[in-house]
Amino acid sequence: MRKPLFGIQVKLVVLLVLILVFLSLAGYQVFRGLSQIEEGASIITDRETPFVRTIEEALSAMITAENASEQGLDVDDPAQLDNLKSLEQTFETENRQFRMFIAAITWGSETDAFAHSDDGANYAAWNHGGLKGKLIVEAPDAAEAQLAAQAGVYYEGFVNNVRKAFAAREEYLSLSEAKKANEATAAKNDSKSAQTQARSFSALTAQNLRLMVQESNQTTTDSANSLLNIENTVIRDTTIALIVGFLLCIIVGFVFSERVIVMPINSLVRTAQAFGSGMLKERATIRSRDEFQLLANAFNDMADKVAHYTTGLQEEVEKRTKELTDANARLLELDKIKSDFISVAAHQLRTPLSALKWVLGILKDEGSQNLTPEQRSLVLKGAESNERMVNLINEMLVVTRIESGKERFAFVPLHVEDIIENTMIDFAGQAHVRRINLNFDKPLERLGYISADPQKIRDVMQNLIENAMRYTLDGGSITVRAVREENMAHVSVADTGIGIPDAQKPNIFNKFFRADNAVKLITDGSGLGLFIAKSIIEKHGGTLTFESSVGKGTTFHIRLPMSTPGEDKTA
Amino acid sequence: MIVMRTYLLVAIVAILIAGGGWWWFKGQHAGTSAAPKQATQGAQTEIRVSPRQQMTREQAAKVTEVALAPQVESVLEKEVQLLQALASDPEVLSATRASNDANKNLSFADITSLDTAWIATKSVTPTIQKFLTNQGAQTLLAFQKAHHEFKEVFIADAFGLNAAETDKTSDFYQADESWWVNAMNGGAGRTLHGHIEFDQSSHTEAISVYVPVLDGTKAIGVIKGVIDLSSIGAAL
Repeated sequence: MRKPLFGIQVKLVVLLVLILVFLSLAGYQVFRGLSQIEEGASIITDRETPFVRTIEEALSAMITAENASEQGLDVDDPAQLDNLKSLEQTFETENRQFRMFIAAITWGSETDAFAHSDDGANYAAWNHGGLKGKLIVEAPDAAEAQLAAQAGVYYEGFVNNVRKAFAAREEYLSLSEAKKANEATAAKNDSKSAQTQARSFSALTAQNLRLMVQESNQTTTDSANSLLNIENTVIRDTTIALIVGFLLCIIVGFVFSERVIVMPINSLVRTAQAFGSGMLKERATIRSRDEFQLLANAFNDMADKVAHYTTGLQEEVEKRTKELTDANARLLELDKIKSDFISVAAHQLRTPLSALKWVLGILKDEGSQNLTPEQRSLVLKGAESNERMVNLINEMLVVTRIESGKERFAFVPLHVEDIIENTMIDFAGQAHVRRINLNFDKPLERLGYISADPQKIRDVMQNLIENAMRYTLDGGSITVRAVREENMAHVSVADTGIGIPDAQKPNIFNKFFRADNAVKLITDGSGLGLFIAKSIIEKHGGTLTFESSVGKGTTFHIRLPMSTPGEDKTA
Repeated sequence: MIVMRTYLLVAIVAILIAGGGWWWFKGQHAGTSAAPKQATQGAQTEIRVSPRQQMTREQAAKVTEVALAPQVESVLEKEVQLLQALASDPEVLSATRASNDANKNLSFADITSLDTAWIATKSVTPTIQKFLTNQGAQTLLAFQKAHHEFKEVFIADAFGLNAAETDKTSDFYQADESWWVNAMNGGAGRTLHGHIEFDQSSHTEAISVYVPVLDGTKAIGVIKGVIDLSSIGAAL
């Protein structure tokens, strides 16, 4: 069997892949949202936080520098010149740090800030402060870079003027020490003037740094809001993706099971039902290219063979039926010929037999004194044989008439028990001789009328009782009963005779049939009596049945319909 | 009946998939527009557009209107005065006029072609060399030598094309840039400066100053001077 190209397993895998795609869609929404959240969070943690920290460091450096300058420019005692120098050094150190921080913001990285350093002085200060590698500043945007660069310019103004103020202050202290009051005052004024300028630049620098912090705060706020939006979007998108994916999975699963499993099975069921109901040309038409198609192909192959066999069988049956019909017709023809022959033969035989009977009767009755005992015995045997032959011929004539439908019935209302009683009188003597207990259970009340031909019913009763007498051994018993069963008169003749073998029961009413044990017991007999009896009873609308057990006896049952007022059967 | 039901289900699936796809596509684009502010490298002092996309004066003014602290503006004013003096130099006037005469018959297609070739050229070709060595360039170099704070000086004529320069500029056509539009001011001329600029390669910062070359009262070109920011800081 060739494996199908798109088997159910392959289709199932495709279905699972499809479901996986739907689920991946939901998963993608989750990962995309997480990625965006990570991106937004990194803006805050990786960029804005170091950025603000850098600004704070720059501001701190500037404030320290400014404090140093303010302290230095407050020095009024020439003895504190060394202190002034020390504050000046502090100021310069902070300057270098400030420049480094601003450079880091302006140029976007620590490395670029080092490259931009003032001949390594900034780098040295940076390194000395233990800040190397600790400050990470992402590339600034245009506005941030502008603000940082402007802050740098303003800070230079601050530095230049502080330096001028320091120089003027040093000059002032020298002149004061030299007791040059006028020059000292002028130098002090220059110092204060430069300090004022420095303060204004310091304010400008601080203002720019605050603006940078504001910008950064705004960016942080925007990022935080963006994160909230992303979170909501992720929840919404994921929910929708899951719902849509779930619905799609249900629908696709339903369509899959409908198309791939249910429809082929239903199609195959319909085809099988149609085929089973006799539509032998019905075939499965499944083109699913999977196992169901293989099954359909196998079914079609089987159907082809069954149809072929069935068609052949039908033709054979028709042929045999025709042969049987023809044979039956020929048999009927032969039977008719035989019946005609028997009828003709019987009629032709009865006349000479009647003549013989008459002659033998004369010899027996009138010439008996003239006959020797031996002659007399021969005449009696001849008369007896002649009597049997006449009876046989009569029975054959009856059968012929029955079969040809020419037997006449004269229906009259009668009591069946009267006919039974009269018939049994004929057998009383014989029963007595053979010590057979012949009884008639006469009903206490009359059964009522039946519409029947009294002679024919008498013939039936005579036949049945005669049979019982013949096949019941001496000392046995024969019981005749007559009862009414609703609207039927039921007459039974039960004997304790030899019984009928089971194998021969079906043939017991056939013409010329005699059971083996009956033939063995009494060779004489035509085998026509029961056929005639059954035919007569059926002509009366009744039934003749029997029950028998070998060695125990036989009971014949006659059931005749009771007569209804006004009924008049004619035949 | 079963077939109809199946077709209906397939149609529903198709609609759901199409709807889902549209929703996904929309989500993709909505995601990008909702992204937070991205950092950009360097400051943009001028808008660079192609020659076919001439900027309006109103748009250009918004880009180059820059206000620094008065102290800084004061220092820049001194530098502007130096450039104005240069702009009125007869050699500069002569070079600008000559360039205008030479370029007056150029079509826009010619200008585009020249600009494209200039941008594509990395080395100094004879054509470019002419702008670096002509009489106007000689004057500019002399000025630069006297005033070291100017890192670069060049003249763009009334058509926005280079007339003379101390260094090879990145492009040949300046009329598509906001500073030229603002400085020409429709022929009335206007003096201005730009944002602080950053040069990543030399790690220097600068401010450009733009001064019109006036022939009488009519602007016939613009001188652009690029001033080292450190010199500004030193002058404060």
